[in-house]
Amino acid sequence: MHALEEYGLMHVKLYEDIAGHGRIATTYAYPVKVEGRYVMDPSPTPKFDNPKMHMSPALQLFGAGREMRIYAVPPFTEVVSLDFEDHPFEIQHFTQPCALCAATGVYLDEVISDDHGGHMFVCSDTDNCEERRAEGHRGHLSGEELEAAE
Amino acid sequence: MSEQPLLRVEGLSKYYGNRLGCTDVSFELWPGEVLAIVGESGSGKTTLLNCLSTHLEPSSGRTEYRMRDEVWRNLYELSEAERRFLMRTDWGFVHQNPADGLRMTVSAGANVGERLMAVGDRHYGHIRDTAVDWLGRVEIAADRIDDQPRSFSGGMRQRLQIARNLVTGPRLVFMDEPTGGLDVSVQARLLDLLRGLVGELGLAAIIVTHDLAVARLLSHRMMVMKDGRVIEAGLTDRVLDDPREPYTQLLVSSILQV
Repeated sequence: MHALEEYGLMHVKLYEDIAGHGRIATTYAYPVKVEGRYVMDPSPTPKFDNPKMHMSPALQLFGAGREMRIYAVPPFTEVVSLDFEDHPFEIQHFTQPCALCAATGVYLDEVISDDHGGHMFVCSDTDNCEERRAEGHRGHLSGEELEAAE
Repeated sequence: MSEQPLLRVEGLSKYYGNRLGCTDVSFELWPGEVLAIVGESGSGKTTLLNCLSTHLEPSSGRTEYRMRDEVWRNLYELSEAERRFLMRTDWGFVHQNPADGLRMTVSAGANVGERLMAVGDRHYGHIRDTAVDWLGRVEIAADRIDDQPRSFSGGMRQRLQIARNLVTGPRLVFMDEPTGGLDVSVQARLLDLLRGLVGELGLAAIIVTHDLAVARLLSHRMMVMKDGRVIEAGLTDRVLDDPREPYTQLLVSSILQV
């Protein structure tokens, strides 16, 4: 597939998304084209982080267990998410910052907090979230406020 | 019409070990011409088709194709990438069993659109409009565009497979028993549709069939094969109305007259 550059099927997947959901509903394992040549699936990274792969100074390694392969994207490489001209690639948008560390511009997970529909958005990268809290950043649902409320 | 053929076949042979697939086949195919290859099961017609369409590598002989840039290329010397590119742009292949030529688990629209996307069409609206247009041309209702071919009848699947192949405007289409496995009234409609499309688009086609009626309706010329050899070739009406070889006479006379 890579040697023959046969990537039509990747767009078929995105086409099916739009046909079925009216938009590209793929949120992770979102295919990217590397250096204008190779198409790759950066799973399990959410598509939110796809743009960060472009020209990244870091060496990026992806393990593809079932294929028994490791994919590597060298530093400062062009990485473009596949899309359609009339349905351009979009990342998820969050209306509120992380409930614990108040970070913005990071990928948030929705966490259900009780049986009555209560939920909160917290950093998906828990390590980074903890570091930020250690540095004194506080979100509106972080521990101290909960303790204060009790 | 062009003054050069589209395809030149010289001395094509295919052996499976010691067993003969087909041997010493030579012919030329012209743009817009439909050639039928007829013969009984095991006569080597499918082997020949697979060699011509580069699915099989022949044991000897050559097949040259005139590319869109007017350059003649020997098909068996193309790189795999070039061959695949040719197959998804300038050629079509209609399988007898539509499930072999379709993606059964993606929608009809995506089946038609796949080739467009493979050659770089990146506009969803355009792909969808083209798919709707092609479904209409093969008489599939536009509201079935998001259904999977699994839910289609045999005749619809075959028509969808034809649309999927023709969407990139190929110049040459290979068909392996395109009406096999369909009931008679559906066959008639499909043949009618194919004849219309072939005429309208100026397609060249090579059709393998054991059904002489298919050859009669669709083809301009035909070749009769027996035991891996072409035993008779000529204009379809001539071969069917005035068969010269005893075997062809037998074939023609064994059609049931209703």
